[in-house]
Amino acid sequence: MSKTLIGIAVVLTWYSVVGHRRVIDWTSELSLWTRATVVQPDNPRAHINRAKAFYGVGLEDDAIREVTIADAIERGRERP
Amino acid sequence: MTRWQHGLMAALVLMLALWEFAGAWNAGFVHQDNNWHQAGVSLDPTGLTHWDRASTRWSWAWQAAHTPSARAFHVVNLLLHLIASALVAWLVWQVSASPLGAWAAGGLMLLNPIQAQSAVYLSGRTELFAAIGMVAAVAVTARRWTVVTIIAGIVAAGVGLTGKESAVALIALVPIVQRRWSWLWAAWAVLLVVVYGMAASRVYAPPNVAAWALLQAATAWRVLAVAVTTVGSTVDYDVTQLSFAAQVLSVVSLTAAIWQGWTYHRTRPMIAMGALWIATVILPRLCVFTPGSNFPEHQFYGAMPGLSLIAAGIVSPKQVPLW
Repeated sequence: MSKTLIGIAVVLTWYSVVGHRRVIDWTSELSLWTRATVVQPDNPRAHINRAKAFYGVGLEDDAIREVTIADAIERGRERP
Repeated sequence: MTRWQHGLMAALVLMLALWEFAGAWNAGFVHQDNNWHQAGVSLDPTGLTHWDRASTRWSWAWQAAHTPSARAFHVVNLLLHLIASALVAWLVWQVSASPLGAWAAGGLMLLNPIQAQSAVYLSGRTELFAAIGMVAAVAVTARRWTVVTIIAGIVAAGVGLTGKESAVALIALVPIVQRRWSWLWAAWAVLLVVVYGMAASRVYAPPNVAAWALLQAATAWRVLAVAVTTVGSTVDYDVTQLSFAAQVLSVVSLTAAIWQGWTYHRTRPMIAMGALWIATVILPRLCVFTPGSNFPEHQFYGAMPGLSLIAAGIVSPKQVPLW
């Protein structure tokens, strides 16, 4: 039983470490959609939402870049 | 397990939960939370007259009126998540009396990284209420069907159904937990008819049922894989980028995994229960058409008790249901 208990504790600790990072992703628009573009770089919706997040914090150049990437994905072109 | 071991596990799980969800303390209204918060939807008096998701919307409305800070909303969501996790541990205890299984199941429900989207995303509160209702209803009636347990089960079902209509999966979860395997096909058929009727009445029925079901099943397989491996978790994954072949392969894999779980129904019934629980909660999503939203991770919350039952069955293989 002790070995099983230790095994459960190790798995739960791993969950907590990974989950901590995931919870932080959900604390702001920018962290949430940045994560989305990392996991799925070809998701245009993620780039559009990241652009909105950049715009929301006053980073307009970054927002324009994200919109351009999303547009390129939608059109099936190579990314700039 | 000794009392000392129980205390150690309780302290560890509490400490890990505090660490994992510490970020929510400073989280704001994110994604669609921001939309409904700014629009004041939760305070719409006409909306509150309907029973549709009433317990969730009433809780939002009450908080918007009395404790409007994002932090207070997050605290309530996390408390609901804690209650749901405790109920899953209690369910395992009810069906197996296995302390190891209860700790594994409750811990998995509470700490699995995929749960972040349900616990921290305030719109995920619908899933929390639905899961609390479903798990409480089957746990309270797991061992005995008396007047008291039946009334308690009906109340719990009411909490779940007014949290989110997906709690209708209870129709098939009851025979699963009762191990009435011969009732399951009939229960699934009734569930599908009810769900498709609900979806059609709200214009949520898919224009192409087969294509939608295939896509949704593929998405469900992806989310299940994320829950098991903890890799690839994200918001709004665009599953439409999967090729047709990949979708078919995903569905075959999902079906094979559930079938594999079912093969344990005599030797390790909790694994079979868990696999069938997951299949049952996924089933309604194959009928409900939500454009642009393919089974996001927070909608897997109701299926997580199934994965927790499987974990309990793995760590306590000698335990069989008590009745």
